[in-house]
Amino acid sequence: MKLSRKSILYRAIQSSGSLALVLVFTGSFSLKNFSLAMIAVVALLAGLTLGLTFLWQYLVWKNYTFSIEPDSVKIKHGVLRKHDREIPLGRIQNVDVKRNIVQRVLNIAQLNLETAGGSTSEASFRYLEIDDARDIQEEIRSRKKGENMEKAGETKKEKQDEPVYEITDKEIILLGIASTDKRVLGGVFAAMAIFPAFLGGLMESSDLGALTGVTVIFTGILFFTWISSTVSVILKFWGFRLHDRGESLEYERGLLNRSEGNIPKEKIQKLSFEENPVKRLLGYSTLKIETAGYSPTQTMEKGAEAAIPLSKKSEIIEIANKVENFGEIQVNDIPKRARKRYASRYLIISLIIISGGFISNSLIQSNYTSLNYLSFILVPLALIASHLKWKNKGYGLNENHFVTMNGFWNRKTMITPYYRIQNLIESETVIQRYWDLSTITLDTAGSGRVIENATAVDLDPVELEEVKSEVYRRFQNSLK
Amino acid sequence: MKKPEKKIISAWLIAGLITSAVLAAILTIPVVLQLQFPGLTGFTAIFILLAAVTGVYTFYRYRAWGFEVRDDHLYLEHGVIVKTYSMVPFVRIQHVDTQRSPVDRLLGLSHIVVYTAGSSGADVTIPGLKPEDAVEMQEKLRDVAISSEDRDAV
Repeated sequence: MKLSRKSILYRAIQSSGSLALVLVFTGSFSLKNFSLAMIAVVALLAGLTLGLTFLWQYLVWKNYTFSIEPDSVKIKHGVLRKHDREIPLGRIQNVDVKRNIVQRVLNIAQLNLETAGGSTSEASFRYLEIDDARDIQEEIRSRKKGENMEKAGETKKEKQDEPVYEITDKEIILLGIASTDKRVLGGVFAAMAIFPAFLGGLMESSDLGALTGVTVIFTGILFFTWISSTVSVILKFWGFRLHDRGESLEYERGLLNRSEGNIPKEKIQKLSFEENPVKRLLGYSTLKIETAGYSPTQTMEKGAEAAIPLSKKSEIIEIANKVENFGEIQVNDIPKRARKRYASRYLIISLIIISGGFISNSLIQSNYTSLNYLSFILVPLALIASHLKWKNKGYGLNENHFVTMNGFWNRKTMITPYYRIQNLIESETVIQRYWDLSTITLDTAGSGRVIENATAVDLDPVELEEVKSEVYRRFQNSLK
Repeated sequence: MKKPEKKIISAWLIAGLITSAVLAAILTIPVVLQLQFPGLTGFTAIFILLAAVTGVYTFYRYRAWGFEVRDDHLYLEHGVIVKTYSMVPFVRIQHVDTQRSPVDRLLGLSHIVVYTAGSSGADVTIPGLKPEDAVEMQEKLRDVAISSEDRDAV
């Protein structure tokens, strides 16, 4: 078999990238004694080198052949020095198909054969037609499987190298847009720091032109930080793929820095679906998996990894169910009086802010009283917020998992297997006792400081008692 | 439901009164330095106020405390402002400590700390036990933890 013809073009351009740099440098040096003859020489040199590069890459392509044998992969290559390599299929751990953005456009891909022990690839096919690459990947995989079955008599049907999830172009763009990075907040703060300084001066001059100018700068800063955060998120999660390797989940991501990670299944403590309002509106979600456990060195490892950065909620639930078979996410509402509790809390805060504004205004005898009346908008906002807070809270008793939902901005739905429970804690604050409400917490290993525990907040105490004993019963059953 | 030994009230009161005294001293420093207000009167007033709060708090604190070694879990309830009811399954117990602070030793008390892998694991503390009861309970909890230990408790 041969590599794609397009790889001649791609590799030639790739290697002439450095040539172009050299030319730019020599060009800029010779800029002083710039002449037509000079340009001609440079152009001639460039053309010649480019031609030679293409010729060389053609020869590389011409001399590269490989074949997939029943028990090995054979590769013959080399223009001047001939190489002949044979990789036994049994040694191949991983068949990886990688593509960057240009390769995507050209419809080509790099295929790596990775073997155990080495960090570098045993063989790297640069570059194959994408369809060929997928075929070869499939072929090697199925042959390997056949070999395994002969060896161990196993009938493992799992397609080990088929990613359970691979981010699509649409998803990654959406992820970039929907994720607000810390950088955006930084930009907002920077803009806010600059804005009042300008505004102070403008209030006096009341120059409309300058005001629009500042507004443009202000939005410009916001826009720039937003774009940069979008780009950084896209770069980070570029080509995100999640593989199911039986014992563990493995992910890889990143365009510039390709990083890989591993989530051991036996250490999974809970799953968490996170959705901000944008994601909720579009029906998308993020899956995080929290792990903890004692490693052989007895140090506690803990952490949460974005197992799926973004996908349609239905799809994400389906994938998550392959990891932890929890079924559907259905939550029960919490009592309506909890909403009253939130409303009263938010209204009290709003009233403090509003009255604080009026008092400070009368103290400094400012003229901007209109701002004080504007602050009354906090009252309907408080009511809306309390409703949303209430609506986005809930819990559910699935057969083997407890479901909790919290947060009206970044809503988190946590799935905790009963068998992961360490302690069961019920708690009531003074205010909760006033409203006759109670909270149940499922304490799991290694969480708490890094990630919050799964809590079902503000339940009716009678209902909570039933939930608690049922959760405990299911926990006990899960141990048998 | 078992309760801690009554002597624990003294331990809590001693600790509470010391804290009150320190707090009152800190609060009265600016008064003494700047306003030349009779410092001792101010100190005494604040101390009495804080001591009264401590007394009431300690009363409710003792009333709220309770624990029980049940069939397959340890049950605890405590807390005045935030009432907490926890269940610690025996299978999740990593190890059990008995600890005696200076005040504990003064009053002839001991307390037990039960460790789990959970986040608030180190918080599972039972105060105000007689030293012999504490040792007995430690052994009991250790035994039940071992007998149900067929997995890594994580």
